[in-house]
Amino acid sequence: MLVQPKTPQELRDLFGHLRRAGQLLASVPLADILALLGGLGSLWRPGSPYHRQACVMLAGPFSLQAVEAALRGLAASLDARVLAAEVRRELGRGDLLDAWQPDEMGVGHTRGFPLGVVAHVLAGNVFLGGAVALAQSLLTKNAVLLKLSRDDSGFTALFARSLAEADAGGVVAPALAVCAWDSGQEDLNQVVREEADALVVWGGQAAVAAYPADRCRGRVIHYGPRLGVGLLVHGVGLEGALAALAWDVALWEQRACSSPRLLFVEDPDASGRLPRQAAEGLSAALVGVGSRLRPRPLTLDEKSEVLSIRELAYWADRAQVFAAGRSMGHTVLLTPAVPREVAIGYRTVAVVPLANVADLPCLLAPYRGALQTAVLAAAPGRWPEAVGHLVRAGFTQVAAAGSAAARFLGLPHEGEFALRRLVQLVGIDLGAGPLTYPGRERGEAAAVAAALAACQRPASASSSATSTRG
Amino acid sequence: MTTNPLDALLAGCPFDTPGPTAHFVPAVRECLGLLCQRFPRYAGFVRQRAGARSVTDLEHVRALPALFLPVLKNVAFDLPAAVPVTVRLTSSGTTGSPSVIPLDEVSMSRRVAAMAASYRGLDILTGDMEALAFLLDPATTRMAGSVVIDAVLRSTPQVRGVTYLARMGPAGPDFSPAQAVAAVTQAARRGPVLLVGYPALIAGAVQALTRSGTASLPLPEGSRILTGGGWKSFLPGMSVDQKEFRQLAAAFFQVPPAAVRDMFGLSECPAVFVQCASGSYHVPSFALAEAIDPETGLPVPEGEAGLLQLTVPLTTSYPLLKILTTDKAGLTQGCPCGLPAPVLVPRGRVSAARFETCAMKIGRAVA
Repeated sequence: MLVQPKTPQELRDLFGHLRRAGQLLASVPLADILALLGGLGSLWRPGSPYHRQACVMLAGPFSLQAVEAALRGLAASLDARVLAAEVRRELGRGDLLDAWQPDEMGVGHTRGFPLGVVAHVLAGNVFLGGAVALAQSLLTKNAVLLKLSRDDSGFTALFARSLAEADAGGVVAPALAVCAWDSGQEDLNQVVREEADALVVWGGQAAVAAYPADRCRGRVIHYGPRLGVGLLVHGVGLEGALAALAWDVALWEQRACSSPRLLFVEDPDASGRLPRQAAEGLSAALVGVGSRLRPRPLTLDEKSEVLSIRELAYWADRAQVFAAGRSMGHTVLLTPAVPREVAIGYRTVAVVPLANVADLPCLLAPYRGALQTAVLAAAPGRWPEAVGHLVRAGFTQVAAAGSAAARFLGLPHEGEFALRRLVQLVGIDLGAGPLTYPGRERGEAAAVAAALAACQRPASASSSATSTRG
Repeated sequence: MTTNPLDALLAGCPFDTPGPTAHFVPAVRECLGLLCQRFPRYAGFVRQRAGARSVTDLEHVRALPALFLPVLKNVAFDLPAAVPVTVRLTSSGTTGSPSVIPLDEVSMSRRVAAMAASYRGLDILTGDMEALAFLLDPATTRMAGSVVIDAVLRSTPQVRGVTYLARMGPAGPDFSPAQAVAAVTQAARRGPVLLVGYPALIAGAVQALTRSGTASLPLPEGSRILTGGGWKSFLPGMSVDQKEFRQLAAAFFQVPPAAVRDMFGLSECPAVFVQCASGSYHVPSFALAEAIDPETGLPVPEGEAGLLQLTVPLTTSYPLLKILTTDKAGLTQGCPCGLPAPVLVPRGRVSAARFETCAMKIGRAVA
């Protein structure tokens, strides 16, 4: 159900409710949450009522085929075994939030605790953002408040409804609230700053600027705007690589942070031959991929914007424009250097010749803070070298061409496992070795360790650190 | 003595034909030739998009590539030394960076002649009158609206004098509704007046009078009100709806609604589209107006909205022969006023999409 708070007090009350629900959620074993999410995944299988409803809701901004592919990916990702493996990979062990784990000597114990109520400020460009945010929070047993983007399609609320349906025990769903208010409502934004135990901001610069770390009480995680880049290295099979890159370009219409909006093409002999072949070939591949991921019809305003992108690139950047005749289904711009402007959306790619892959860190230095995903098309033998240069440039994720946005969990996101950021790690030191007080009673450490092992009921760290307003 | 094809284009009433006259194609050919000589990059653009063929008929004119307006706002064409610029007109810049339009003497005089022809053809300047311009004094601005209208009014013998009621000051436009009211009142005592300029300023003056308890200010018979631009906010907080303004101005100044006209134009285009007595914006015969689907580059069906594309072969000092604007418009034929000239129906300006997205913005919107 969508909550549209009218007053700061309403929103504060909602946080209080979520905090109480979060304390119950913290006591739910991970296995139960995984089972619930698995059940949720089954509600989203192709052909299910939710799946059908989402396809109708979302076919517009994105092609129906992209929506269906994303929903298939979502349903598969919610499989309990898949999620268990991802949790182990991200958190180091599956029971991190369920139990204290002793070290080899039985004196050092480690356990993770939820942070409390995690507020996610969502972007509107990729509809799965809310589902991913929700899954991340629940896997770390955090209560979650999702603030929708003004562009939200309605999918996030639908997904939340399906979670309530899957939550037979009624313990998890109360720890979730889907909210909407105008981003300009500062009094409500201020409640989020004051109440959220953690705040995850996904999306544009304005959203990031609205929630600076020094004005927020809880932990702040910014997944701000990013520039997606592609790299095509000499020696790769061109036809296959371009077909895969075309998929990445078309899937999210070049509106996602992982979308390869700038494509560097190695030009080892400085003839410009390979970049030109790549631009022509990518344009042809985009025509081809259009039969599977059909571009949506554009409005007059949007067409005008595409024309503006093309004509300004032609006149200001001396770009060559490659596109299908009398169509704005895609635009490939072959530019002699990194263009001053990099367009967003409309399946637009700027192809830039690159004399040497080693030049990439220098060329991308102005954008270093905004680099996240690089899509790499290279022969296997050149991957290590290319990845090395991409890492030096500042990228934190390298995806094979055709896989730019294929994964939700299990890999670092912006240099860190996302689940780790939503957990408070706590250590207990029962003391051992020459620096420990020598007069301590023998057997005390062992007794405490036994008590910790016996008490494996999960608990929430935030239960003792809740806001006084809650 | 042979007449220059560009000047021949301006002879006669520009609204008597349902489209460009026979002079239009030769004028386009002449204008294009000069522009291609003067602007090599533009010549390459034309060659690349339309081939090297000569312009011999209207179909060739339609096939010529247009410069898209955002390009003119962002890219400056180098002027050859042989083109002596006499004036650099600017746009208002309300939608981004203003355009700068360098004109040599002949291009400026043709622009003035074109506007005067449109005024004459639609009976805007009939009979003696005194002009009160709700425009920025051209001594303080290079904005195209002020400069060209000023030149037209001063070249028209029936206009006894022109008084400017606004000026560009160091802190921006400076306009006193009280002073404007006083100027209008005094001029109206002397005879018919032409109130010309931004509707927001005229509405501001009306509002000032109304607030002071004056319900109307009857203008002498033969007076006219001619608005242009400024439907968006020009005075802070003052934005005006065109239909409401027409009713309000006609009632307040006690002139027939047909005496309240508007004109539509842009600084990059030497043609201005003036409303007839029935309120339609007619396309003069020295201009080819088309509503274009920017995806195909082809005209949309009659009456549907496309981007307004204008071919006007009157400027030879800058490549403005054919421009594709960011205004939405439709085109129709058949106006109740009886003029056969096509009718342009403005439908607002395009707006850039605002993606709320995790993709970093390194882009520029439609200007």
